[in-house]
Amino acid sequence: MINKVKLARLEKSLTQSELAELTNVTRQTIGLIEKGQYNPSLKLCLDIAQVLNKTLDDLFWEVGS
Amino acid sequence: MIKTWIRFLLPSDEYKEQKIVYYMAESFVLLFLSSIVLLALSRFTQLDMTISTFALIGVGSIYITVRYSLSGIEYTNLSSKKEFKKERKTTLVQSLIFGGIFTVLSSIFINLPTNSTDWLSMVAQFLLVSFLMYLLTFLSLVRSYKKNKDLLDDE
Repeated sequence: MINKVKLARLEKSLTQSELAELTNVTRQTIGLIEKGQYNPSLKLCLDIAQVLNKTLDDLFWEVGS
Repeated sequence: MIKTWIRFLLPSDEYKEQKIVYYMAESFVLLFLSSIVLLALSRFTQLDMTISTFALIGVGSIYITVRYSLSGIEYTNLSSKKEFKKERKTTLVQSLIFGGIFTVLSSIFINLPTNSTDWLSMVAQFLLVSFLMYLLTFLSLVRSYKKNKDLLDDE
């Protein structure tokens, strides 16, 4: 799944470890999500969106799909 | 949160949890097929009940352990060479401790060494168990390290 999590995380100046800690997952999980190798649950998507002050559309909606 | 009594066996991280559930499900299918094979064999040969049960336990537990170790999800935060080296040393010590405990317990429950041959086989068992444990955890360490490095920040 293509997403903009990495971009939003860098905008907030957060490291993968910090985002992982704030969303109660491992750094590996964040890395996998950013690389599009793991599709997170809706709950985790919401947690990430809340931490990054974004909406689900901002992070996970693919324009033109 | 999904309500299941198996939750106490699962980690809190959802990716890791999902992977482990998959491995458990795969292990169940293997166990089911193995049971059918053993059942079919029991019609033609005289199978020892204890050995058959141990074989089934072995199939289930070894499969999950190997899959988990090789998937690289055990050491989720490991990404630097320094951390890798430190963890490798810890792994060696843990493997030796595990090998020691395993050998002592198996000697107590199976038979205590009485002659030099028994002592020799006890030492051989300790070395073998420690080596296998180290090999498995080392492989897990390497796989986790590689996986984490690939997922590292690019900045």
